[in-house]
Amino acid sequence: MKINTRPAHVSLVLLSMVGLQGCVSNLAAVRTFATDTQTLTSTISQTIDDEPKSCMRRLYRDRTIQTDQEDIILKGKKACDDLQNAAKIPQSLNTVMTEYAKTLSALADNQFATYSGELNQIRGALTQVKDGDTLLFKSTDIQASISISNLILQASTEAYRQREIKHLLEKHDDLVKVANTLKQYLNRSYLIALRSERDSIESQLLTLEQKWLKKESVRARELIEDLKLSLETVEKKKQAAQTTVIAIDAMIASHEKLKAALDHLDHSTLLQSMIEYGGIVSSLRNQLKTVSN
Amino acid sequence: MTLEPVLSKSFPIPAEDVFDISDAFLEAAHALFLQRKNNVLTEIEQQDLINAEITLRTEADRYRAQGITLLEESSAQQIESINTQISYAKATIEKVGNIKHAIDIAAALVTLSAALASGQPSQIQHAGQSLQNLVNL
Repeated sequence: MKINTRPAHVSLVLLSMVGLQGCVSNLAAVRTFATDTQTLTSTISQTIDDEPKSCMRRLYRDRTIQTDQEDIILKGKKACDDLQNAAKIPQSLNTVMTEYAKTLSALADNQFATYSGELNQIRGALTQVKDGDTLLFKSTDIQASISISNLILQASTEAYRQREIKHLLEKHDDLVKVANTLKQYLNRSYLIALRSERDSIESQLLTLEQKWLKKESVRARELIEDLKLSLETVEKKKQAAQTTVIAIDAMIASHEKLKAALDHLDHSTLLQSMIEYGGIVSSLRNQLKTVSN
Repeated sequence: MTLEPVLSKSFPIPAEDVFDISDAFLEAAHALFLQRKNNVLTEIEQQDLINAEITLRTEADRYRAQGITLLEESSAQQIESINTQISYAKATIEKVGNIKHAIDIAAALVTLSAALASGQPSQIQHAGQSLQNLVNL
């Protein structure tokens, strides 16, 4: 049995189908946006986790330096637990953004609409099939069939991909709302938690100076040094949180550009316009590297 | 969410207002700190101010936690809308993954067929195992 020679008109029809559907798009701008957004949401997640931790750090220092009244500490602990529970809400908002970016990334993957690797396996297998000592399929016939199969599959997959990316980008207003709620959380809750931690450290420093330096000077001096380092860390976290808010704005602006370019997502200038957003995310990542809990 | 509400449910209040209340507690805590810093006080007076300051910060935490829970309601509709679209997109991604998987299985079947024709037991076993692995994925 041999594969029949392909009639020329069939190839022409198939190739014209491919031509109508378009070639595989270069979606570098969408990929870049999706990757940067995943980095951004990863840093937001760490930030959200830090709010109840900030509460506990404050309380631990209060217990060490400020008061030995258990009821005050226990009430404080309960409030930190409340913050821990409440953190699930901004985390769930952040998860939506993460999943959105991951899905966009999967759709924009270079390998998404190509089947070359898989089809090459078939080609390799077919060239091994023998009838006795004779190869059953001609190598040139196999190559031609595989190439056409690849083009047809690419074209149909590309249509799926374009449709889903378009639908996702059209959710712009919903994404903006979720992103703005996360900004509201950062501005009204996390940054305030850091302010509370900073103020409490200043209060603890005052107590060490007013009360403990006279009684336990060595230990008090050690604690003062530790607290000064903690103040620096809180300041760095504050700056990182402020950069996160800027990065969310840049994310929204970049998403708007992608949405505006729905019909030419592979345009080269679009990738260029993602660079500012990527720069802010990169700066944020570097800021967070200098912060230790 | 099982937070004990700071504010009664019969008294609905926007998240922004709850955050404002939290801010006011922090301002009050800071005012107590300044009182301690700028005045000569007895040790007992100092300790009273410290305890009150910590308590006010705790109140600020409680209101902030309450404010965060109110954020959920403001975006619920948008979250559902985005999640629906993500699930459609994931179905497409899965469909494409299935096509790739089917091609891999077809290749494994052809390899098995070639191995059977060769009559080499080791080739047959290897090809059969490859096919089984793909089918079990």
